[in-house]
Amino acid sequence: MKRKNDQSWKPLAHILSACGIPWIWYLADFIFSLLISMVTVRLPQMTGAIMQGEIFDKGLLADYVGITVFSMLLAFFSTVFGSWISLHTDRVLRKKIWEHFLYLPMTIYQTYKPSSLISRITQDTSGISYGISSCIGVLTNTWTIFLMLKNVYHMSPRMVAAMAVVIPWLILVSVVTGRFAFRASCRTQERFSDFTAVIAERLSNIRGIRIHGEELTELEKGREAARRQYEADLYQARVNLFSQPFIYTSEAFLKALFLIYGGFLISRGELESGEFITIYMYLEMLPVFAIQYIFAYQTLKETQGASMRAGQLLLEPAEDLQKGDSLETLCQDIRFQDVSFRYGDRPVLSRATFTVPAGTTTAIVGPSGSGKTTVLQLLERFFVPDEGCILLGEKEIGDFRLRDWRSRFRMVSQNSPLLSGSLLSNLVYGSRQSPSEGQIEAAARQACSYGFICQLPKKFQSETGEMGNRFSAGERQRLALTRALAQDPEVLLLDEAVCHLDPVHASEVQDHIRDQRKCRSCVIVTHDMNAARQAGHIVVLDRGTVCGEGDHDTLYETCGTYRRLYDRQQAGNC
Amino acid sequence: MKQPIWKPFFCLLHQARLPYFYILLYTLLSISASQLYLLFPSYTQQIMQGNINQTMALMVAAVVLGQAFVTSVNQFVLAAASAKVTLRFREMIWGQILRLPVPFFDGQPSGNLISRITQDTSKLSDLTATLPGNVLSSLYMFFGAFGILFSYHWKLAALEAVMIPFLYGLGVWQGRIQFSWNQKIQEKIAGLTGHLSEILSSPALVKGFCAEEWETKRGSGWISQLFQADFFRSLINTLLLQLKNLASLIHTAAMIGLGLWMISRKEITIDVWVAFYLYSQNLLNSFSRIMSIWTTVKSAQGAVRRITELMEESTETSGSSADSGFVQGDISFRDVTFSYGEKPVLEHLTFTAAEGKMTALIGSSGAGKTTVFQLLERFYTPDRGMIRIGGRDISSFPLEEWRRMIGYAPQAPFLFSGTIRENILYGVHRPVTDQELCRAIQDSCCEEFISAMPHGLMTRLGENGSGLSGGQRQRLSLARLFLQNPRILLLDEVTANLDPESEYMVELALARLRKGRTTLVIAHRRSAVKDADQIIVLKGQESGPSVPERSLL
Repeated sequence: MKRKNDQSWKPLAHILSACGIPWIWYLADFIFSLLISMVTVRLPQMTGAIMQGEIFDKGLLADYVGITVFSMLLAFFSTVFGSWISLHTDRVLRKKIWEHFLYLPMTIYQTYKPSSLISRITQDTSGISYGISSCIGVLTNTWTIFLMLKNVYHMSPRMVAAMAVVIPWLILVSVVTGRFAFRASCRTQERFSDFTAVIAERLSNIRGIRIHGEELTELEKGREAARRQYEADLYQARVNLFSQPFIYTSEAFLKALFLIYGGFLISRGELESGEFITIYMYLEMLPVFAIQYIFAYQTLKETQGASMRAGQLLLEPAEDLQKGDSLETLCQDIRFQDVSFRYGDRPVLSRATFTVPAGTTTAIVGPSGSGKTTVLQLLERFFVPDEGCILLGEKEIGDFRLRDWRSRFRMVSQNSPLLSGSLLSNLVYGSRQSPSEGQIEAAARQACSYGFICQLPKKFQSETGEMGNRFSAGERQRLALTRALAQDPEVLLLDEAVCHLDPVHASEVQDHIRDQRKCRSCVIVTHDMNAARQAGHIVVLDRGTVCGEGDHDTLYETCGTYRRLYDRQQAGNC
Repeated sequence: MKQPIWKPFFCLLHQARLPYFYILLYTLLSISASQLYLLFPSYTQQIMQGNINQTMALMVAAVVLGQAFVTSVNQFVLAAASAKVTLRFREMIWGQILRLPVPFFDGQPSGNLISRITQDTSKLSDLTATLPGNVLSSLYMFFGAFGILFSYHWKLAALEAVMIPFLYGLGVWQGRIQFSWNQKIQEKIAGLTGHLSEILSSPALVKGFCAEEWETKRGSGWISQLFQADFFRSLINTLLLQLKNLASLIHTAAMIGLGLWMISRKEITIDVWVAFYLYSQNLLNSFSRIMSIWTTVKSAQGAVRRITELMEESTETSGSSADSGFVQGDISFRDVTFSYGEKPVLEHLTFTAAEGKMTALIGSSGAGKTTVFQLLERFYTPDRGMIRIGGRDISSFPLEEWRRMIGYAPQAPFLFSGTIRENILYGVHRPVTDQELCRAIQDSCCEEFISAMPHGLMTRLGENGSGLSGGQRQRLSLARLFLQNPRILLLDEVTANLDPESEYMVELALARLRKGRTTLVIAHRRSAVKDADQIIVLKGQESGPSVPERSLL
């Protein structure tokens, strides 16, 4: 139990200490708030005095007007200042988290969904800054209540004695019921996200529902999820029904007590009517404070949750792009030596040994799930082998500067994304020296995208839409190929890079790449055995182990898996 | 602009079968709460006069406790009513969405529809559950307080009456400014989230292209923009709030000044003035509640419009004749022309797919192959021309029965979260024996991988059927077709992107499935069309209108 607590507070401590939260400003804000509460406490006193008929005291009236205006100005500046600090903290945290996310290793992106990472940046940050402000708020409130009680004590010590019983009760009740309400609202939120998930999955498969004529089943499922949320809502309402009367009656009790007891004191001449009004105004302020105490617990919990989620990610070590030896050129063979890699619990590669020769095309083939894509990801150093090593010449590839290393490669995969923006900005994405217009055009011709780009009204300046959604899958893939070719990498990594193209375009693109890449390395992952056959070097993978390496003729003779794959496809094609 | 929204909206409310009892109860309780609040100041006045006795104290205690009780119960009733309304709206909208025609979803990001059903519904329920109660109780309190004020002293009350219009104007003006700023912030937030989600879902791109620094800069730009907009909003909100406070300060000052002047002239006593002061606070409170109702209505207006429009969309029409007949005969496209919006896809397409035979559709991407299938599924209707089966227009069959006659295997199979068994039985509208199920699993070559799963048929798949490889997904969707036993098969690139091993398995299953059914196949690979009885070549827009060339192997 204790360890669990340690874990949950450590991320918070990290965020509070190491992320550049402007503590100086918060301190200033705190002192400012203390000053304001002194003025806030003073106002009801003056109102009381005025009500008592001291209106004809000119000084008092001037003071009253002065202090009122002054307190409004103070309140204005304090609110603006407070919100500036909070928003500034948001901004600082957001930038910090965003930057950290970008440098996190790929493994993190395999574990977390993008949507959950987004809410780390947008929501959790405001959760944290809200938590800090409300902590300060609670401190100031306590100070204000103390000042009020002090004033009341001056007017009537007996009143304080009566109130001293009720106020702690009020706070206690608020905190206890707040806990119940908090639990109920957690449940409601959970159900709500369940409901959204059910609806979202069905909406993205609306054609599937139609095809199978399952509208009625889905109607029922959607309704079921809505009903479950409704039950959680009702539960929350019921919790409130039993908890709120406590708060209200406590408040009401306090008021009634004051009115009766205060009236009694006035009638005995122990309290003046002006003082009575002052105390009454204090009482009116109390519920506001009570609410802040209720929420303080809730907010603290939420802040802890928010900072835990965001902080855990911040504690994950980021990639250092600059560390390591500089790399001039790649023109050496890359060798996988006994490389094993697991993906969580699932072994993907086990003791794989093979060579990716420089200056030629290497094809990686094998049944699905045999670890082909993982090889490319290891080459790009998205992952690090669990055992064994990958060598460039004599040196381990992990020793080279990451930035230098990755800039030698360009990968095109089954679903290489485009980003929103102009086509041109996508094509030069990430390149240190922007490719010239001629290079881009040549690349577009090679990838068979020049034709349709020229038909667009704004050509290379056309907008791509969110995730490139103004283009079809085939067009997107050709654009991704254009992007990789235009940037002229030393090694081209192609993972099923023509799978969305029709056969004519696919073979055209493959021919172009083969012609152009004579002097440079290219690693392709493919199911198309004819494309693999034309590669200079072929690596056959089956369930994570290498079962053959060499050119087509040797493999066809020596490797059973390769022959089976090849023959199956040839048989299908005749 | 307003007219066409609110009228259909009331029809909608009628359909939704609102929980009238709860809404009525809420209204009554709100009014009685108002009444209790109106009682309070007069007791204060009596106490201040020194009029303290036991009955008095009991009365005060009763009123105060009554307030607490009524408020709590009332909030419960409100929460229950609004949860009920939300549920009814969600059920209704979900039913409507499931019946909307497929083209409706084309131009619609699914996020939009999700927020229709999750967020807009709760806005609507806030509006419909609270509106009658809040309006009536606030008005009751407002006029009640006014009445009492007049009974106390008409001069002071008249002063109040003069001030109200100014406060009203101020409120409306503020509401407008806040509304427009909120929209600005929403846009910025949407921009930021959109940008972040795009980048975070493409980590391989950012890392592979070494664009970390560039993305840090771009993200910071969005974050700073959001900060600026947020800060300006809070600045303006604070200013407006202070303005409101200033207004109520002027109000109080005027009250105090006038009151004291009257007290000094012995027109009223101090206790009358205090009660008067408290009532005027009540008046202001109820007034600001009325203003907040106005804001609720205004902010719900968008939700009302969107939901009403959604509910007014026409749903899919079932066939013109109730008579189902028997679906048999050749399928023939006669001169079919179709375009998605502006983009022409098919022009004068004519071909016949013989009954019980296999017809392959080939052609470059964008030639309209999948469109042919979508037209056959009756997701879309041809702009011109006719699709017939055995000489009868396909649109004359009842939609549901027509779709049951068709087995459609898309390139990306539709799988859902749930067990493998549930997924196989999806769309099979009859009881299935265990033997039949086993048979279908064998026929579709699924046996091996299902038995290797930890819980066999009861293994749960993730969202959209995640947890299976491409070949496994495809075979699972074929198992479904074996059980569904359709007369017409539409196979859209079922073997594309599979490794030769999986492709072989799927081909094996397909050969069994095709027997005796009219089959249309879309394929890129020659292997997939080698058994076809007929091949139709569709030519895309790049090479002129799509004229079918027929060649028999």
